Amino acid sequence: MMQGKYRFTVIFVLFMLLLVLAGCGQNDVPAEETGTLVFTANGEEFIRDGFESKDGWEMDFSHAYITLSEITAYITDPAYDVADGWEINAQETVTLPGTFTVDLAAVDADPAILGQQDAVPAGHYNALSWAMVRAQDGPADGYMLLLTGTATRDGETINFTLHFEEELESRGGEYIGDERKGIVNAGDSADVEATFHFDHLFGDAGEDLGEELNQKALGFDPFAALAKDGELNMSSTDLSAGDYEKLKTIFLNLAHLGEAHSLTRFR
Amino acid sequence: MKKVVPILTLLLLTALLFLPAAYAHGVVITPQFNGTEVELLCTYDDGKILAGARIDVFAPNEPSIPYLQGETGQNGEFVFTPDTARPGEWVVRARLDGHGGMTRITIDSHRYFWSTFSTTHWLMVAATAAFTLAAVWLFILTKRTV
Repeated sequence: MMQGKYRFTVIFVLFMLLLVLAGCGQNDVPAEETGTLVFTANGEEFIRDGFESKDGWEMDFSHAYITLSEITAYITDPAYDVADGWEINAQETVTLPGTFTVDLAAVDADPAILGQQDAVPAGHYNALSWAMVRAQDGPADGYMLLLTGTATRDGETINFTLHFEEELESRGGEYIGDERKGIVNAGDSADVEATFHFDHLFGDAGEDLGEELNQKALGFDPFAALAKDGELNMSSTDLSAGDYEKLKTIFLNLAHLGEAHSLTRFR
Repeated sequence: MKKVVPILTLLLLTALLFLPAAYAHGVVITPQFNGTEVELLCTYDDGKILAGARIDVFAPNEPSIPYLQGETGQNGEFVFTPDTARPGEWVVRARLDGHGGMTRITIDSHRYFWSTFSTTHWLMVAATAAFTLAAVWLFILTKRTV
């Protein structure tokens, strides 16, 4: 009689043990949830709609070709911040293979789509890195950045084509803008954005001239000084030595993630 | 003094040479949680006050929809009361004239730990308790048979 009770107890204990182990197994191997991550670039309204430079030139851009490569998004916890330095410690990394030349001045470049990766692990992609390299073909062949358009002041109009060969690489933490970006939910898509602030290059008449942005910006006068008969076709190295050094510092502050600053260096 | 100036110049130039990268004029948000309210001080990274900046606060369970929005005061200050029923990492962003910054604040991490317990976790706890009870029962039965 007692032997029967003993056997029942052993079976009960084994059943409970099985239940616990089944619970552990279920927790350790969750079904992977995935979504789509879209990579974008944005020159914002400054480059699409034009603006007045700090020295009074009405800047109107017909094209703003920029070439990007090595574009990688990261899930980081703790969240990466540029103040932490160059190293990004990521739990998840998604790279967009290839090199992409996009026209940030195009009316539909709000933002410009570079490409997408499907079936990426769900999560918050809260860091992004990319390189700005010379294009190997296409309309901006040989240049990292090519700006074309017109600058007008006091009845004078200059048709400009500005070539920039300098290659850089940038990285930053979470995008800061009207919305939060990079949050990929299972079965859904989200985007990450590399943003470029061209008011850092030409200055912004809408801001106080004493502001740091305008103090550090070149304006358009140094470029206009090299124009002949209203035409300007030049490379960045045609600038005076002093202005070129200023330009190099500006390039280190051109790339953002929305309104968040990036960490940038020359390659 | 004549020797110091060239040495300092050399040191400065050397430092510039090894400066690997640069970022400038970021926004710094300094939070202070007094147990009920979060007090924020928003400045540029050079210490200049960020007055009139737009503030977005996100709760951990709704990362895409602002929990509340507002504006910093004349001294760069902003105060809000987080919902402690939503423990975890809260995100605060400050933006002004194309410059932005972000900070993360952990609210009531102890309660957060328990709130993340899933059904599976609770099932495991129940099973472990039942297993322990069965073991005790077995021990008592064994003692009685002796």
